[in-house]
Amino acid sequence: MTAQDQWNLSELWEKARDGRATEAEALRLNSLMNEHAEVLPLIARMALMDAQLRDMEEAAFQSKPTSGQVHVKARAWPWHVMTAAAAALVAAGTVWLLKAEPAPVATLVKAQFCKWGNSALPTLEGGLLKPGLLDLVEGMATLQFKSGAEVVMEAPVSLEVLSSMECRVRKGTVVADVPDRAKGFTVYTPETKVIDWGTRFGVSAGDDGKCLVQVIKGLVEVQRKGESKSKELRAGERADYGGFLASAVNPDADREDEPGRWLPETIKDLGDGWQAVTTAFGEGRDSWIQSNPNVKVTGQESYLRVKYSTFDGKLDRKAYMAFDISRFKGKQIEEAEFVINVEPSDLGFASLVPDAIFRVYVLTREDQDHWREAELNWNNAPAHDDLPQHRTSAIIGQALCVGSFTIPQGTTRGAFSVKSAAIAEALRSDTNSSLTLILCRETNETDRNGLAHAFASKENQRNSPPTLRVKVAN
Amino acid sequence: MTDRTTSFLELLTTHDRALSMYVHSLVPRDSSAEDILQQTKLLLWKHFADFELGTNFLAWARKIAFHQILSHRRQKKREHLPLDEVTLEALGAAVSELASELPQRHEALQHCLARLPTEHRQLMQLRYYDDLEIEQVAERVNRTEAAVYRALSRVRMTLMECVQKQMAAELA
Repeated sequence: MTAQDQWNLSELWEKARDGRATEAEALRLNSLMNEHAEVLPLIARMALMDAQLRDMEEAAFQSKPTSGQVHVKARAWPWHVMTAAAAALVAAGTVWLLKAEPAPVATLVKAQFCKWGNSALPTLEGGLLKPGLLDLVEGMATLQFKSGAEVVMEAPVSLEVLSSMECRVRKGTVVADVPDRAKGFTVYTPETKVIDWGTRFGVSAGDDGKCLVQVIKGLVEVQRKGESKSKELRAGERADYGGFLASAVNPDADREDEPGRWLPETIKDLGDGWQAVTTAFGEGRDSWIQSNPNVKVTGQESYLRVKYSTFDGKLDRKAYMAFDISRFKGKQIEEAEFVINVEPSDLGFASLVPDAIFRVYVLTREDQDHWREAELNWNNAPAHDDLPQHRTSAIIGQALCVGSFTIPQGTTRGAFSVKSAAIAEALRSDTNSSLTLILCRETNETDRNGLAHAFASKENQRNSPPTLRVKVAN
Repeated sequence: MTDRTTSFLELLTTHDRALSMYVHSLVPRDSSAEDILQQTKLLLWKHFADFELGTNFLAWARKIAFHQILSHRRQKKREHLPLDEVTLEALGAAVSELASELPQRHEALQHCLARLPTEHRQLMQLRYYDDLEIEQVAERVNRTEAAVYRALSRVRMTLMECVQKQMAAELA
């Protein structure tokens, strides 16, 4: 039975129970109930529901049931609203139950480091949101829907607020927290529908239809366009449609446009004695290692990924960067600074990682300086072993901490730097023209599936690679 | 009170709601349904001696109620569903099957009702709580009767789908 058939049947039933059915309609109803096996149970459900509805207390028809005045038959019918709606309805024709001026369905409760694109909706904290589009370019924003569902937008993301129970992710990532009273809260993506049954889950969607649904807690139901059956996902499970993860890990994999029209210069004279060298220069290299031996990192990825998690032992990552510093040989180094650019990461959810502390180490064991991108891994990386404490740091004695920086939660853009005498000293004491830096995240995630931070590598075509800025005396 | 009376009252209290829902499902007018229920309860008490304790009281009560419905509609046909007796009986049986999960259904329905968009919920209130006739509802919302029928049918389908899902989720 199609939805249309069901509506027709529902209407026929409505007339029949109201004593308004014509003789022909009554005959039709009788014969449908007798001859079509699926009709009788459906009508039975309608009949029972009618009986239940007639039996309901008034409070059940109010949005927020109040126990005090359950039996008071006081009407507060918004006349003007319904009349305006009805007038508009006549004009609209096809709209079956017209809404008046849309009411706010959500509130923007929190905006962290937000930059908004061309959003049609107010983007100040505390702003009431009617159905409409929100375009978050940077930062993290939390929406509280009237149903009780909470949705965190993780930039870059484009989200359409539809009603107190629905939203649509055009592209990007959101994490939804759905309490029991908002069960049924639905997140649409271009080709997938995710219905929540009281959980916490994340959705990442591309505008090309690729989609990743990841359940953090509880149960969600996923319906994919073109698939007849919906899929149930429980905590820890995910559905990846169209190879979302593959394209996220290497977003440049299927790039077909012309290769980089703009590339950051590998070495720059910044004036005033400052010079910059990136990992793209000379013998420079950059890559990362991951505690899962099945993940093959080639060093050709456009991101460097760094993560620390006690929830999953296979997801820890550390970044390795080697700088060719031969040009500073014999020069008098006064100061030095390390700069790295954060990129939006498509892996994991920023909501689950608080402000994150990163530590930068310089490899002091020069015999380990000549690692190769293609071969670097969890088992052979310099100043590293599998001990728990070395998942968040380098081995002291083989490497030296030269500084740290903190990336605020939800930050997806921007340069972070460490300027310290220790970096300058490491440059001065170098003897083999190669300096390896190791980047570790010290901050754990608060729950499984937290964000894996991403930084631009030398292969990144949009952002500058890791850079060493060095001040040389004249 | 005799033991017999106590047993009757206990059984009736236990099954009162299910019996009421059964009759109201088959009798669309509340006033008629209440008349029939009252008549049925009198008969149940009168014939309670014939009821064998330990057997299915609700099934027995439904059977008596169904006969009351039939005799009521012979006199006031216009107040009843335009179904022939065989179809009505089949409907009664189908409704009885659903009644085993009545508390869950009630809870699911309350939940789903609360989640309807305001204007849909208000429409349901006019129709079911305020018990207005279709033309009165139509007048209230400034719509044609046909449009109100259509709207009510669709909201009902939405609610039914929601209840099904809700029940499925609870079983899962």
